[in-house]
Amino acid sequence: MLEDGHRRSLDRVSQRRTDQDHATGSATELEWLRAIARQDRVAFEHLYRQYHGLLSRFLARFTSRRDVIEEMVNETLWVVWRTAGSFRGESKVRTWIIGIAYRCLMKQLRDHPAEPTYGAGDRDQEALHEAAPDESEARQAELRDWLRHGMALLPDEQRMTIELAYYLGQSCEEIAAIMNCAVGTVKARMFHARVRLRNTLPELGGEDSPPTHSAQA
Amino acid sequence: MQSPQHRQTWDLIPWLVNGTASASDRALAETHLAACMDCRDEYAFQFRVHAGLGVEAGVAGEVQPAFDRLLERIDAEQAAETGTLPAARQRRLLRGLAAAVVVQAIGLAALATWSIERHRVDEAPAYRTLSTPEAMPANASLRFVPSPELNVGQLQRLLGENGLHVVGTNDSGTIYTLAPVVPGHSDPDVVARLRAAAGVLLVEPISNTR
Repeated sequence: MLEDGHRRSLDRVSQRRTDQDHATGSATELEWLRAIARQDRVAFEHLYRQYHGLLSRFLARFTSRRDVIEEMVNETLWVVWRTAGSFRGESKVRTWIIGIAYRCLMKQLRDHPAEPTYGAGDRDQEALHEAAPDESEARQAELRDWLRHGMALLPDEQRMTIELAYYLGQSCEEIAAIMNCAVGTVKARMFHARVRLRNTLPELGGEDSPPTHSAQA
Repeated sequence: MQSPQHRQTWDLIPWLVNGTASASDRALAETHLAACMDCRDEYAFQFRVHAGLGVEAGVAGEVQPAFDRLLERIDAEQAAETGTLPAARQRRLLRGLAAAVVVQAIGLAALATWSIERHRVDEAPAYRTLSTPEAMPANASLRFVPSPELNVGQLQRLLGENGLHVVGTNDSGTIYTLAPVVPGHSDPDVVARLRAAAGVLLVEPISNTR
């Protein structure tokens, strides 16, 4: 059986996920989207306010430029405004909107490959590090630094897969819908991303961890 | 040798960590995790990655200004598509158009006035064709050309005898326009008498058709 700590953590994330399902899959968002398809600006403002923070934080994982972040957020929600009538309910509204944001982000990464820097605003991360008052928080800050550097080494698609799964909490199937690819492709990207992170971040695996890791038993 | 359960569990670990694995997948993985140190180690590793990535950063800008900018964009694009403008711009444009119409009306009126005046001036052309009726006094009846030898006394006497007087002449004073002294009086033989008189080069009736 699982150790108690791991079981508790599994229970926590499962509960959080259940709560998220209720919140994000709400009929309210679907109603807003239908109203937006009828050019209802009040509904559009509700949806905008609902997603502005989420999209900003997600996109900030890939660029520290706030003007670019706002531009991508507005581009995403502009597409929502224009195409709300084409939503067929094949996914959650949240998944559909994140998929639009993903395409905006990939376009930005393609058009300006040298510009984005990984990390949700390096200054914010550094401030967290400097402000860490005790050993536990200092270790957390160090962990974030390691992760920031490790994630920066991943190809865009692999980094995106990790972020969608761990930062936005999307399922494998949802990520496939967002990235418009097969579930098997998501699994493969996740697999390779994990191996690369294992190799670049051995400290996260504990002192006795090997430098490389795979699914070999 | 790699067991199917090990590979399945290893693949499921990210979805266990983020809480999106199905109940059946979770049950399968939990059973294997309990017996596999490698998978537990990987689970712990991914759990730390998940925790490290989950830190929120305060990067979101202000919502209202950003939303206003998006609405401006939508307004502009809708205006471009439908040929209409936002209400404020429509009002400004309407006022501008009204002013332009007034200015245009004033301009047209001025142009029409100028054109009419110019037309009146142009009514009397600087040239005259043979078919153009000459401007004559209403009662003018004869065009009369005396010879240079006919002096003024002879001319006065000739006109007096025939009940005529001079009512007009050309610029050089060589062609006279004659009219009866008594308005309305008509003498059918006057032309013949004048033509027969000495010192007369031309006598021609004027047809007053105007």
